[in-house]
Amino acid sequence: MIAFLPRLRRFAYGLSGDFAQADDLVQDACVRALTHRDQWQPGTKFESWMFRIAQNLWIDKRRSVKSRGVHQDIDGLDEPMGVDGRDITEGRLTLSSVMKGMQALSEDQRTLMVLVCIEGVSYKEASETLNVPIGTVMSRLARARQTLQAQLVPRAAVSGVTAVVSKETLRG
Amino acid sequence: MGDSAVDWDVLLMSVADGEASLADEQRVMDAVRQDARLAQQLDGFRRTGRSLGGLFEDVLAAPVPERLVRAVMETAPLAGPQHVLMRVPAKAAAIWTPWFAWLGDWQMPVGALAAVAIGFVSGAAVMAPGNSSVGGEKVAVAGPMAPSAAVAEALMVASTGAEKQISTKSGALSFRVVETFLNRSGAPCREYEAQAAAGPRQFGIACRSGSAWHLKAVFEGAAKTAGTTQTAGPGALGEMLDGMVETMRQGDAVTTDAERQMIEGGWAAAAH
Repeated sequence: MIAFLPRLRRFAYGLSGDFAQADDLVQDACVRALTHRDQWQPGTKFESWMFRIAQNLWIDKRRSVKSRGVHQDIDGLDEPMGVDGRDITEGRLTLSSVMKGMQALSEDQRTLMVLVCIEGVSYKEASETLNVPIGTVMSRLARARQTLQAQLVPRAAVSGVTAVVSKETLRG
Repeated sequence: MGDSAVDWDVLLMSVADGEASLADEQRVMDAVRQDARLAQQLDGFRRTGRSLGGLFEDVLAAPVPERLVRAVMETAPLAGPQHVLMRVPAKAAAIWTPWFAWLGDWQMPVGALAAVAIGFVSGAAVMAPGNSSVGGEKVAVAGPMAPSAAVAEALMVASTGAEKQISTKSGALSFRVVETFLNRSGAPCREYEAQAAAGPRQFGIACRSGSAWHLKAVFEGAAKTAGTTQTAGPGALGEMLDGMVETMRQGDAVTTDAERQMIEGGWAAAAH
């Protein structure tokens, strides 16, 4: 589990965009896993189990925060790597720009983005981790990526990216 | 798959992520060549795909705050019985790491579990007080364990990186120390590999205690090479061993000169 902490922390940071919250989430997830370790099924992936625990805890926390009317200012997201804000206008992807773009996503979409695009799990693994059909994973992820892309690309270029694609061309 | 049922966004994304079938990929690439807007959309999916992981490498590489490690470690012994078993899967994947078991020699009370291991070590029996089975896999739960005489002797004299042939009751082994380091108590520890002519490679971490070597962890599994493992993916044995060493160690690996002095001194001065 110690060896897995860096990855779990990256996953948690992807969800929260904040290192303090990410560390709290990692700690809570580890405690939950240790106290419920009898629920882990031998033969299943330990990583998936931990991601699922962390994701469930994060959703619970977000619900709690929303019920209290607290919100996070996306301008306050951690920028630990000294990101230059000009990158986004020049079309370069940075950790900061991606994290800010991901704030435009729903929790479900963001979780999928982190799992598939940052943690690199397959659609099938994501489906199993989140216990949703693989078709839902794919359609939800595609929508998330389009939303993120719209956030990241300078407005002038967006029209070309999000233009409706000719179905005739695709059917070719 | 009929066209009316096709979600082209999903299809494009699957191609960008390398998860489409060859037929679908070919179909999409043919279409992309005829439609610049489609190519642009495919680029958008590539741009927001797994390459994003590279942006998070620094997050992955950032040291885990000590307070977080400590908080988790302090919680672990309260989470259940002390004798937590290590599962040793046949394919060295999806390993449930009982880190609080192998860390236990300084975190847990005297007499608590010091290490967990598979039933044999480098061709010779381990002094294990109990054997068990988890999911059909053989494990042994041990208190303080000692390596075989041959391995203990090799640990005494082998320099890091040098291959040494040793003879055990079950046959010859090629033995190699991967690294020598000091643990948080200042005791010298050695990570090693042992490979029989036929059979899985075995990995171990042994620390000097008094006048003897005590095993902290022993596994068998896929070969580890050049600091990585041949078994790709997180949770693989080599990665787990590296994580163990990183958590146990105090400072960098000992230098060649310091190691030579320890060997020539019979590890006496450094023993704790």
